[in-house]
Amino acid sequence: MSSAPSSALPRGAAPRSSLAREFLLEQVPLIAGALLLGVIAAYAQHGFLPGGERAFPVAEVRVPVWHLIWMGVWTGYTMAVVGEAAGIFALPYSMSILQFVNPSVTPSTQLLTFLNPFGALLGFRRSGQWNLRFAAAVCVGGALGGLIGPFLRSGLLAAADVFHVAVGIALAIAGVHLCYAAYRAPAKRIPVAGDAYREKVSIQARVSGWRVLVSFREQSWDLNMLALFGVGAGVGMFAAALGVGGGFLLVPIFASLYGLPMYVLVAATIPYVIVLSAVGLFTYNVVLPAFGSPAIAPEWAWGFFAAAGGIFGSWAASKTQMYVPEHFLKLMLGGVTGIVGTLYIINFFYPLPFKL
Amino acid sequence: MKDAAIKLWWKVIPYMPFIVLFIAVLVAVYHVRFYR
Repeated sequence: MSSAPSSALPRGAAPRSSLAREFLLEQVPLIAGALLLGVIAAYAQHGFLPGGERAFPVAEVRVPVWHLIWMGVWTGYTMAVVGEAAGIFALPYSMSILQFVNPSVTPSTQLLTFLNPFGALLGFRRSGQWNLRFAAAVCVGGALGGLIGPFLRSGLLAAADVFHVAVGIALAIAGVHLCYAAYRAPAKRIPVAGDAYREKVSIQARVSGWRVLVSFREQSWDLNMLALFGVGAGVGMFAAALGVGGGFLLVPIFASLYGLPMYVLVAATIPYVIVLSAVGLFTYNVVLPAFGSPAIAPEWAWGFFAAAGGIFGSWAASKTQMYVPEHFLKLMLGGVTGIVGTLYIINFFYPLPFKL
Repeated sequence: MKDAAIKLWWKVIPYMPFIVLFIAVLVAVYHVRFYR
């Protein structure tokens, strides 16, 4: 942002050299690392690289590696543009299009939701949208939810049809939230040079007893940490049981109940998704067997390949979000998500004539 | 030429999510047709 933008760039756009530099120094290592981990995980878990020719043994589906990377790119990109995470789209896509229907789909998607926000985390930390005192209570709640959720998945939600209904409910909630956000948002957001996203800001938080006072510029919010913990635990339990990050519930709760703006709430929701997903993955692999339930192993390579695409997709979204018609996109994605969720729920009660 | 390409790029960006979604639908159809 230091040099003058080219005459061809719209107002507020970052110069290409700084974008390329940021991409090469921060994103390429993350993407390459995820791809490399995907290959290593495939050989370590199966002794070969699955793909279009040989099925992924845990997922029991044939799908080319490029398709998994692409799934990460498009789900990460489109959902990040509207302020959501890739998991809530990648999960039904994996289940209905790729036919990854066994319980391992949950931790495999959870691996995607764990790695996907790291690119965004780096960006938000650099812009000052970062405060661990603010994030702590909800993250501890998320950790508790991440410990309980996998037990729900291996018990209450073990049957494929019941799990589909739970995913359907989550999708319906996400769909309603997106449509509502589209209804409330202005038709077109005009980029402003002094926008909170584009300049260094600082989110402050002061802990006093069980309360935390979060402040940003002249605004402040007095939040009860026990309530934050409870919200984090409740959302985390449901999200870890499905294998998503929980942003689809946490963002609307923070925005509507607490009135927190997007650029403040991300300071808590991004670390929350990472903590919840990490604890969820740990529980699926280690805690479940320790308590006598069989472990639900993820298809590690699946998650890493999808995450490689997701990191790129969400980064690309963060750079272009200002220039897309968010209003119409939210309405469209919300509509699609809501319809798919409703079909999942209907299919449980009245089997549909097509496979979901 | 270069400036024209950049201008075109900024014109395309607003439609990018829809282009991405359209390609996603094509890829999904391709997968259902050839891999399932």
